[in-house]
Amino acid sequence: MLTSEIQNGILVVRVVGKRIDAARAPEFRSEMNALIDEGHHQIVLDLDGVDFVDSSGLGAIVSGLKRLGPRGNLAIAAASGSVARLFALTRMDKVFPLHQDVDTAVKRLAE
Amino acid sequence: MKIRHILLLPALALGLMLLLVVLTRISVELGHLQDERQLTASNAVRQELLLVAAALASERTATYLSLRDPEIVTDLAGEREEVNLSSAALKRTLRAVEDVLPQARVAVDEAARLLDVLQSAREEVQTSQLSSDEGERLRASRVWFETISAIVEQTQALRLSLLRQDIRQDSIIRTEGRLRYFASILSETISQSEALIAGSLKETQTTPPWVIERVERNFGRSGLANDLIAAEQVMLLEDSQRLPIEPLARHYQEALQTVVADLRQPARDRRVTMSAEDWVRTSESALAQINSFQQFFLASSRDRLARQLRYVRASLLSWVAVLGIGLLAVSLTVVVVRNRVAAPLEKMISAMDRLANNDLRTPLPQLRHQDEFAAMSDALQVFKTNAIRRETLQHNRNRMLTRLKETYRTLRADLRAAAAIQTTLLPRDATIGDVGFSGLYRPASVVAGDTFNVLDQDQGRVGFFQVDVAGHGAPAALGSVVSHHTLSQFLLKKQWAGGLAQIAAEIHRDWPQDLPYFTMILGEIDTGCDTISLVQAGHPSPILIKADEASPSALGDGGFPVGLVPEADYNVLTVHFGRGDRLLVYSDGVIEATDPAGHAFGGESLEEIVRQNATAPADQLLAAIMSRLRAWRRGASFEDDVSMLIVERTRMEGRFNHAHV
Repeated sequence: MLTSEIQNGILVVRVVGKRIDAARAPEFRSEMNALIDEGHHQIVLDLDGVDFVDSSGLGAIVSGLKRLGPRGNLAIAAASGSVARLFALTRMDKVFPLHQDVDTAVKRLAE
Repeated sequence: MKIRHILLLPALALGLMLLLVVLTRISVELGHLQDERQLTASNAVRQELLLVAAALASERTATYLSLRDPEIVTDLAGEREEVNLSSAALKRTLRAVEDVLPQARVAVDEAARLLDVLQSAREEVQTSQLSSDEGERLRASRVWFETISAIVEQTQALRLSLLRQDIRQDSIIRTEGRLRYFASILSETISQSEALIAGSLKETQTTPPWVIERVERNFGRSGLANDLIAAEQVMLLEDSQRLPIEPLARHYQEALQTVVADLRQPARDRRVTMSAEDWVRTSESALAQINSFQQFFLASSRDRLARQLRYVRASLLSWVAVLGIGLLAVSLTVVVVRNRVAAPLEKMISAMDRLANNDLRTPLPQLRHQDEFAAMSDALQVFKTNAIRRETLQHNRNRMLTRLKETYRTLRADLRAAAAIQTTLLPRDATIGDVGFSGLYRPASVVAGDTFNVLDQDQGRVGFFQVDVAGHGAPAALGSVVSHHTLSQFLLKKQWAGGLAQIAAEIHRDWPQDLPYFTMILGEIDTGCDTISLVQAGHPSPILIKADEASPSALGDGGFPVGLVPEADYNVLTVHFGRGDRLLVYSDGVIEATDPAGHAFGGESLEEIVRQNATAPADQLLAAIMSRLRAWRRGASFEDDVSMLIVERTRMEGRFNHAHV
């Protein structure tokens, strides 16, 4: 479900598919955990193309942040539409840095 | 048709054919055997007849000569004895072959009759010999001669009849038989002429005409017999069995001619070229040669017949042996087929039958031979093992399935019980003072993560909440029950200094990590102050419907859910809430319901329906929203829980703008 690449020392994680919902949240969680356990601390999650995240999905994304812990940073890139509205509704915009695109996110994290 | 029949039928058919062929051959050989026996018997009888005829001829000559000249020395007694012995031997032989040769019986009677004739002739001779009358003696001699000659002729006829009966025989043997017959005719003529001529040569009278006539007749007959013998001998050429009989015949014939010429002369003028004794000697030597001729061919025929008899017996034996072997082979085939094919097949079939009928414990047949059946048995063993394994597997699966079904039933019962409990937690539509409320609760599956409550807090305050726990199933349901209980307890405690925000913070702080987070609207209506306060914890913004305004509006712009991130904080939003004002609280299952194309229902659509039914009683408004949602879904079931709660300040004294429950 997730693909990843390193850009400027930052791990950019892309989501394959349009939904992070109750059905796919466990898969997201385990793949994200695997990536984090590999030792990546600076992660940009690219939500370009994701048009639906439900409560389970949100919980999965937040669990990634919790797993990263204080040493790590998780930024969201290209959240749009209902996904962006969800983040606003739940004040997650105060928890994750939200960026328009991956490059901006990467640049900010690299600083 | 069974395989054993298919195998045995050709074998038995072949065996039957063999049997028929061999039996046919055996019967043919038995026929040959019978024929050979008959031939041998006939040959033996004819041999005896020959001896009898020869003995009779000798007795005739001796008696004839002695009758004509009583002074002559003859061994009459000896000759008679010879005749008696040979006729006794003949009788014995005939009796011995009676069952082989059917003609023997007739021959016995004939022989007996001839013997009687001989006996009476002998008696007459006895009488005549004592007479002194020469004329009487001469007459008697002639009678005797004729009588005995007739007897001899009849024995010859008997021989011929026996010879002619032998239809199926070797041509060589037949030729030999004919030769012997002609030779005996020849010797009979010689013997007759010997007696007649010897008698006449001795006498001084003129030779009686009957003698001449008889001698001449014999002369012709002997010439004929010679020719016949010569003709028959040609047949034996390749066998190199030709004996020189011609010189004999010629010599005798010449002597005979001379003597006959002499005898024709009247007695006075007779000049005798040969004396009676010389004539007798000549005749006897001729007879002796003919006899040895006879003996040769007798022996030859006897040997041939014996050989043929042996051959037929051997042939018969070998055919019987073939029959025996054939029968043995057939029985062996039957036994082998039965033991190596039919019996193992039977065992195999019954074993396979039992296996097919699911008797998997059945033992497989133990076969001794390393043949196809052993291979079948091995394969069957594998099949049986696999079948047993499958059965065990199936058995285990069935057990597991049964357990799963029980577990499922139990779980479903548990879930149903849990669902029932969840439902009982929800308040029924009612009023508290002038605050009315109506709820709608549609879980997506049996148990739900949504819940709500409305509580009387005294002093004109009414507390309420709606909760949406993240996720689905048991964890969400537990979360909803725990949050319901916790929130209800908090609301029922009288005074909270920090108000709703403090309640939210407390709950958030103590929320167990194992439970899923939840969103909520936690609110309080103060009828004394005409206000409504609420905490929006990540829940969709509720819709406020003012009594005197046409357009409903959304309250709040968001907040942290409870139990999601540690740094969450909460604040309270307070607005005026007078008589006739309503608030619609709803979970995200309402606005996120999708149509078949995947479009979400959306907040705007909700606000639109609310606007359209703004003044309808609360339950009707909820029903209208629900109806629109169902239409939006085109009849498909909902993927997320749908719950809605309307709280309102009634217009009048708790009567008109809501339905009493």
